Amino acid sequence: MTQPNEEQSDLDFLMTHLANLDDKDPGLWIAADIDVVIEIQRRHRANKEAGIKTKKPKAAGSITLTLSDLGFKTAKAEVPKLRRL
Amino acid sequence: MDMIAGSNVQSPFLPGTNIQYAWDSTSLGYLKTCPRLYQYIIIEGWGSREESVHLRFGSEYHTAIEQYDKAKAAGATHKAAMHDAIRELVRRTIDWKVDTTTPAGKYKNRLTLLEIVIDYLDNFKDDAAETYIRENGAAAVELSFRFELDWGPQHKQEFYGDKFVDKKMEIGQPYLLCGHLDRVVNFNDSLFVMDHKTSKTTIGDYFFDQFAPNNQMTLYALAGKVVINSPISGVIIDAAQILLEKPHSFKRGMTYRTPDQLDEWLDDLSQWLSQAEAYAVNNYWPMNDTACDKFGGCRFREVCSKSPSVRSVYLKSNFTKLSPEERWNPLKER
Repeated sequence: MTQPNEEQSDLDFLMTHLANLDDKDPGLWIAADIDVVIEIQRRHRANKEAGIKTKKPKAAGSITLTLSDLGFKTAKAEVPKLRRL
Repeated sequence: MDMIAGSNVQSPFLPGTNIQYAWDSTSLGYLKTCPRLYQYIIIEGWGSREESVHLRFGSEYHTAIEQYDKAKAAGATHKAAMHDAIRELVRRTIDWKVDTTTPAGKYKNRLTLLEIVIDYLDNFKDDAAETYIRENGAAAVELSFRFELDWGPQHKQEFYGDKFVDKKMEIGQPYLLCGHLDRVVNFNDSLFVMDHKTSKTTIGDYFFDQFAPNNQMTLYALAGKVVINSPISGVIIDAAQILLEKPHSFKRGMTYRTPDQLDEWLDDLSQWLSQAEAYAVNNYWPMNDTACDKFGGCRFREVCSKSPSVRSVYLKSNFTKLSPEERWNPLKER
């Protein structure tokens, strides 16, 4: 998974990722979308356990991230198509 | 039986009265803590925005763990059960916006909810407490209970010879005890009810001491016995502390109830319910002014500290009067 840069925290990653998910139809979410949420939180927890101070999250939407930014392979979700007879 | 206008939910009150016949640990707890608190919340339906943050957080936390436990009991792997529980949690909370500058919102918001659920599920990946499987094959997770007591409101007792004898109830409605058990588990060859709690405060002896004696836990131990039809040793308090800088903390404590303690609780309950009926008949719920500073201070303390003539002004400015269908109702299904 891509590491956040110095200006970004895990919480920033998570908030931005959630904001991206919220903008999509939940029916179009893929497994990796949820894996990202879980993995970011696990890393956030590991940092807390290691005593690394949590950076306060910025306002949602301040960073734009994609799944590939986070090191996940993205499968193209199927979109329903209307076909005229 | 009376329905709440505009809904398909039964009223917990006898028709045309404030006499409550369906009780849960929450409404009973308010009554025991302070009859005026009970009046404001249960009878009149005053609520606050901050309260809804706690309710939503608790409800989503419970639902996510419930989904995970059910999936695990059905044979799913930790990874698959967790994935589905988190996916549903993210989906359910899309529209949940919390003001994180408030004391409640700082600790209880969508992010901290996701954090603590993921941490909880990882922490109890190999849970020593196994979900009890009922005779019908269903996992004993999120069990709603509702059972009748052998007496009801408006019953009469008459003195015959040397003892009191219950006369037939005039209206035939017995009291009901209602609620939800988070989970029934088998732990060290004994059955326990498990109750999930989230807290901002430190979870130690002081935290667990509050559950013995405790109205909610005794009711749950009693209900577990009725619902499972087997002896329940007590309740496991499954506590999670929400921490912002450090990792969330999870601890479990046990509180036991003997059959004699359950009987005593029921004896006490009959006195409390008679008292509640008397308050309703007199349309007056007295203030227990020794409880105002308990549990971090009553939410209505500012109202009750004012002169009676101006209290309604403070109630209206600090609280919202919920519609009958929005109010706390032990008969409302989850």
